[in-house]
Amino acid sequence: MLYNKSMFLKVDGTLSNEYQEGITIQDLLDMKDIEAVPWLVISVNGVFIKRDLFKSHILNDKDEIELIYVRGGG
Amino acid sequence: MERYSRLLELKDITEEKLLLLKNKRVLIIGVGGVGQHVATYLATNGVVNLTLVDFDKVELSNLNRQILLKEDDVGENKVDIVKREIMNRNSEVNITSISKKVNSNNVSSLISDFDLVIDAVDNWETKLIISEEANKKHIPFLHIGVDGYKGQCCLFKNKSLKDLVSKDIISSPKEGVIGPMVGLISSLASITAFKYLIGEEVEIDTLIYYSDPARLTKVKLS
Repeated sequence: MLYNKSMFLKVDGTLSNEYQEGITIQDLLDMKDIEAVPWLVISVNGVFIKRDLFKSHILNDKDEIELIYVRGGG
Repeated sequence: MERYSRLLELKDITEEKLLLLKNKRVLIIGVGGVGQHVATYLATNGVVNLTLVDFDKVELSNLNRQILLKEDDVGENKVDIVKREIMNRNSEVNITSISKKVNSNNVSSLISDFDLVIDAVDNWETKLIISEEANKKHIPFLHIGVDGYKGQCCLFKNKSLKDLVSKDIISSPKEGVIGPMVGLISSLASITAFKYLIGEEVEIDTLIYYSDPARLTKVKLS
């Protein structure tokens, strides 16, 4: 897949323009070599994204993404 | 009301609201690090009807985070020790202690007539079982999880835990646990529980996640 333009994303609080326009959440995970483990929760602009939408949810310029690894201890 | 005089200095707390708390019934499942903190904070601030469930015995390795336990308690039923220690702090509290491991066979009988169910257990299997039962019975469910230098809480009302994590979740990595982090996440959860019980506005179906160093993230489950 070839993209021409880059865009800004803020991932876990870090802003960067290293991201190609039109990428999905799954593309972002692949770029960062992150596995979508069952305890990974992702939000875009503060809103939870269901994991079955990772491959179809397209990210937009200046989106803020949080990659949250929820904990199981008590 | 002298016991609560400092609490009553808060502008959103009134005697009428504290009286309302007397009719609230809260179930806390798991009284390890998280459950002990939450139970203590609620009981000492006017939530006087608590049911505590845990099947563990006290171990020496519990003492770095389970603030109610003493060395002399090692080998005793944890839930009974926790009840005793809370009663020492507020003798007006009614505590039912149940020494039992929660599973899919007994969860229905445990979760019945409560205003709030609190998940303070240490494994995903039980968390999901509790969450589903609470959701089925339309009882608000406060999920709490902590490990390493991270942790989260979420008050579910219209959603359940399976809306948040994959149903395939069996375990998540264990990074060890330090007492102050358990205290921090438990405190966040305790404030949520308290405000909900007195009828103050709280964020429903919103994950509150703390990660070190000092970063708080909120995620709305739309």
